Amino acid sequence: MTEEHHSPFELDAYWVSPGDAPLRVTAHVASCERCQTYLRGLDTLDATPARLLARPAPARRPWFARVVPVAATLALAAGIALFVRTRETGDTYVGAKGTPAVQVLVRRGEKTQIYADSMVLQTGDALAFRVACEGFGHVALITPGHGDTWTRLSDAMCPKEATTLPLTLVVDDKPGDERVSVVMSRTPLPQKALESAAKASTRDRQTWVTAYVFKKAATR
Amino acid sequence: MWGSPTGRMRGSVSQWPEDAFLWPVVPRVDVCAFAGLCSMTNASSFPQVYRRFLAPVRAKCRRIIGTAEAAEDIAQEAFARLLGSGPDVASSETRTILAWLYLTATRLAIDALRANRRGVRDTDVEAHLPPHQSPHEVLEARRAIEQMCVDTPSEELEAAVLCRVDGLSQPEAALTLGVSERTLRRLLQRFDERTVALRRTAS
Repeated sequence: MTEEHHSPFELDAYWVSPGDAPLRVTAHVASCERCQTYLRGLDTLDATPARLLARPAPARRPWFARVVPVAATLALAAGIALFVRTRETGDTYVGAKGTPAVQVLVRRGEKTQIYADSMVLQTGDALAFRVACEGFGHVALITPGHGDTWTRLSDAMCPKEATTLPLTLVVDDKPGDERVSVVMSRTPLPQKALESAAKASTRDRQTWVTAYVFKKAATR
Repeated sequence: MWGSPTGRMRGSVSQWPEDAFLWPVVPRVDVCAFAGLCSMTNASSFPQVYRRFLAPVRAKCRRIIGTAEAAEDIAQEAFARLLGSGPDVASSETRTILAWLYLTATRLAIDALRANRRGVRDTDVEAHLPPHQSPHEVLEARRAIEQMCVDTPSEELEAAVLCRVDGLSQPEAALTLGVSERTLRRLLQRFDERTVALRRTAS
């Protein structure tokens, strides 16, 4: 064993929660092809469908049958959770605890409310973004500009707890909808990758995009 | 358009009233009401933990078992046990949960090897081998563990799996096993002595 590389345990912990990884691990991984290969292997395994909820146990392996009741229970619970969550939270709900989530807060005059898809923004409204990164290490806000160019509005390390980004967007009086994508990623993304993720609304282990199209009230 | 970021920012969010930052209440689901076998905390946090830790546990299982199907069975069994008797996943650190899953998967893998539930060798297992060890060394250690798993004490096998196949450092393996580093070194030394004896017999 050489000191240049980290153990799979260290790399696993980094992969699970990159935001909590020591700086020495982050710095090493960024420049080590072998460690990156190991992490890509985890990405590959992560993309494999989870059998726990998707596949019944083969009959010829009876020991695995013990897992099936748990799997069925989890599937049932997940369904109930989805149902209850949808019923109780309606339009204002963006994400659940444990899932990367974004919440937009709209301040109009002295009143602040949580943004809902049905809401029409007015000139002067101020918008704040609250994020729960849940393991992602970096968060960026990006908006399309003229032509094919996108502008980074914000670029920061993910906060450990759900918190509001230190950024306020103010609605102007120009006509047309406004689009903003909140891009969470494991590491800071270069501009091209950020734009690609925003355009594709990517949601995987590496990148999690939440896209908004804000409707603005017509102004004379 | 928002225009340039600097042109559109106004003030700091900290100036907003406290009640602006109400996070919607997310209902918790009591899986135990259905399963009757787990704690409330683990049940409500389990789906997220499962999603986050599944790939590392799959990789760990493939390293020792080498067969995708059998490794997947062990990975799922490890999570089933985490749900039933694992640490409190909501309040535990990443490394605590990972160490628990490593140890549980190691023990399940040893049981599987002893029961000889092996199939065709996985051809892409190299992708999951420790970056700091040569594939030859890891595969040799794995072969020795397979050959000696029936007659070798579990503690020695666990130490060998964690250090020689998973590539954990000795402090990491000692913490995972809940033993001192000195004890770990002793277990590894005994395992190595068995390996030497096995090779001598084979040659």
